[in-house]
Amino acid sequence: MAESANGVLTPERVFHDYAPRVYNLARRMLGNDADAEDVTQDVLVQVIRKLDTFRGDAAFPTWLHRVTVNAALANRRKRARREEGRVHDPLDAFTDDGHHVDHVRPWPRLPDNLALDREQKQLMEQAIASLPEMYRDVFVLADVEQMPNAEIGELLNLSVPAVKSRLHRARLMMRDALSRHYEERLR
Amino acid sequence: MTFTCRKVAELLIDYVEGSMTEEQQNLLQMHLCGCVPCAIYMHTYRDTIRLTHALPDEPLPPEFAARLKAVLDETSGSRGQ
Repeated sequence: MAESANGVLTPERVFHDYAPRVYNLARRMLGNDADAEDVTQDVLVQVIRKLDTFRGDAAFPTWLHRVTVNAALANRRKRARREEGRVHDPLDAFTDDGHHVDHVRPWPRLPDNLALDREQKQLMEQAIASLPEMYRDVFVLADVEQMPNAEIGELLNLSVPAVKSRLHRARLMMRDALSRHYEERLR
Repeated sequence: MTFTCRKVAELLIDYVEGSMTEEQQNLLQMHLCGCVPCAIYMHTYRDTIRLTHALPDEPLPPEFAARLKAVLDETSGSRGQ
């Protein structure tokens, strides 16, 4: 996948096949286009410089994921942006005896062959960007990139139960965010 | 023993992964049969995952693509020297 027809990973291949993947992963983790561009450039320059070591190497996509995640985390540390206030836990939206506090309304039925239109894509990207960083990282890697939990744990230095716990809360937050949109459509 | 709505919400990740025990599955099904809000909650949780899986990668912004290409060409050229 990473290689040209003769099995060689070329700078052109890196640009065409991998730049969008690196860019989208960084953008979704950082929630910021300019930072994602910086990370993409740093990562791909690094790749080109080490290209000789990856000729014919099937582990390249895994390595690229790891380098991109680490570069995005380093970029975030550099910015030293702190999230303020307490993070809302969707599991708090239940009464003391465990019932739903708010009404739970259905969404319109999604088609079997799901293809997102422009509005839905924008809605999803905004909802991802609004996730607190600690949840967003896990969500992007697990549900957008579809990486296994154990691999995410290794990348982010988290136990598998911690990955699952963050992923679950992120999904609940996403569900809440999307509900505001989809429930509106049924009114 | 019965599950509360909160307990159902806590277990949804195990449910969609298929990693619940048989007893948990039975208790969950029992709860869902009598609780419309939880049935909707579970359905929309699944829909959230489906929508996320359907999210495509966006192409690079054209200006950035041109800038990046130039930087990579330069890096690539200096490797060969």
